[in-house]
Amino acid sequence: MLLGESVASAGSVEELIILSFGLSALMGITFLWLSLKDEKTSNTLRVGLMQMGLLFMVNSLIFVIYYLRTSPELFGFSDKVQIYLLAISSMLNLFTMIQIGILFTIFPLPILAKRKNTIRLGAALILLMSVSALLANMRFGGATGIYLAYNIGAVAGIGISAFVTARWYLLYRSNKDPKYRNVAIASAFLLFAFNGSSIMLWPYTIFFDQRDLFAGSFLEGGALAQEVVHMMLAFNGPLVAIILFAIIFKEGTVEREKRDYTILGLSVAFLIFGLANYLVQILVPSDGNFADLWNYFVVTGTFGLIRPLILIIVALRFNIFDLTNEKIRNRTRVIALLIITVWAAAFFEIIQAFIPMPQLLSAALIGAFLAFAIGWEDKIFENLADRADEKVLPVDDQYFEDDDPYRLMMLTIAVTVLAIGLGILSGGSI
Amino acid sequence: MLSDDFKMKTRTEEKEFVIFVVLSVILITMHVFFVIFGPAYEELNDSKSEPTDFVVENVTITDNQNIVLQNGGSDTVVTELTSNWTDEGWYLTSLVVTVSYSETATGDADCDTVSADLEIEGDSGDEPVSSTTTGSVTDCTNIVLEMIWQDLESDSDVDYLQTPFDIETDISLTVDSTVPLNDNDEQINVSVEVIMSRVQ
Repeated sequence: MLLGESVASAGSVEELIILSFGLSALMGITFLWLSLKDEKTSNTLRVGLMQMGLLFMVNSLIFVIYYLRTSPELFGFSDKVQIYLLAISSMLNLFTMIQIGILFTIFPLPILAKRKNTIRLGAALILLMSVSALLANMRFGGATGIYLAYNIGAVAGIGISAFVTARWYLLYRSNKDPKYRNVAIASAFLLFAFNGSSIMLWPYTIFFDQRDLFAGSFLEGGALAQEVVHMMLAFNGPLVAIILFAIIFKEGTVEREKRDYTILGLSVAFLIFGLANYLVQILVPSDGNFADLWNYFVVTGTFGLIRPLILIIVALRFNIFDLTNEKIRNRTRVIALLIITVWAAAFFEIIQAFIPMPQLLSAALIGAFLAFAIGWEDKIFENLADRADEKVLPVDDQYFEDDDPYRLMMLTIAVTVLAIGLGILSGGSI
Repeated sequence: MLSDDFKMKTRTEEKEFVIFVVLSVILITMHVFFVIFGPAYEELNDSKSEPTDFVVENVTITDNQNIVLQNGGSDTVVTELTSNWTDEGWYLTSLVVTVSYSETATGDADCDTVSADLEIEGDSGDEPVSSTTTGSVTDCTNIVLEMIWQDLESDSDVDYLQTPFDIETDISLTVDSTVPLNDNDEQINVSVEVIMSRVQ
């Protein structure tokens, strides 16, 4: 069941989708613009930034489809159109899984020695997506085929990201070279950003529990979510759960001068929130409104709010765009303010769903939050400008070519069209 | 093929990653055996395949009738259930008949003997799981007759009785009296409670 349908009292669902779309689109456009405009930064970092931006753009497209699906009566969509939209959004979700897998092969460092091999690996993952979608559709058809294809994409995408992160983190977290330590920290940030919802499932993995956590997800529908949870729990769940504990252990025992409190805090927060989420799932009746609401915001919160926040930290902290350029810095500050505003609105939308409060109070709280956030943004950007020309990751500037960010963007547009086509094909058999 | 940074390093450098791989393999294997293909998964599938999201709605119908009998007399109390009950999805799941009376003759120290016999006319289905269809008392206590069927479930294969049918309670009276010529027109109350159920 779609949560948006069941929690009628939480009218904020549609608003949160719109805000999440706005946040994704803003992040995507910003990263794309920075990647294309900023020629001073290493091409390797630009390609990584471009891939993150493209992920946000595909996500924003998915949010548009979610919005269309949650308000069919507004647009006069028939049931058949709804089914097609579900199939298309599922295929786009599958594509984002593949995108995540590709991202981890190029950022914070490329895992393959040559650019040509990285391109081949990316092509192989896209091929895996297309073939699994086609074969699953031919063999099973309809929703089952889509579910199976999505599972394969989820296992591949999350599996690659978890494995690569584990390797970077455990290999270089205690390294003498701070640039390599940054590789370890950046990969851990990235894992929390893109696999946050999987990491939060750690109690299910450790306790061998198969409860249907994504029951409230409006992302793919209950049946798909159940299959995804089973697969992820069996294959990716152990990987990300062990990484979470490894990060906590490592950050807790590493020498003081090497310690990173941000990643330590983030990992502890995921540990506690994962446990809290598990307790809610086992203690709160699953058919109640609170459980529905909680499930929905757990998924949307990690997907729509935590991910952008972590990636902003990654982008600023690891200098993946040129903040020495005043033009770029000024525009980035304006965009940062926009992102902070949308993020604050989305955050308070979630708070309001749990604790209803008058609009005036909510507006006042957002205002107070923004006042602090703007002060914080000013300070952060001043600090960043001071060390903007510092190279913090040991990247090979010549790994990618100058035109590769543009090529990646064009290829992604083409594959997005392909994913939509696969969605239409799959939707026809439901 | 792998970059120099990603390639295998010395044993000391690889120690933590090797521990990670070993732990992951163990945990994945345990999940595959115990969760995906193990009994836990089958139980989960079984429980998921069982429709549990149904609600059983019950309605109670009561019928009270008084009859007057003479010594050696008998009568039948009939409660009719019309056909539209089953048309709307209702099935008979419980029937309780309570027969009550008291000694009406002044100064009579001996209660009469009342006998009751319960039967349903009109439709036949599966036998009830609990049934008491005859009863007789001589001490002015109540006679409780009942027919209880298995609880209704969404996928129940019980052949419940379908309307229309009549619930017939035969009552007979034998006067036992310590007061000669003073024990006629005995009043007996028959209370019928029917529970009809349906799945929503």
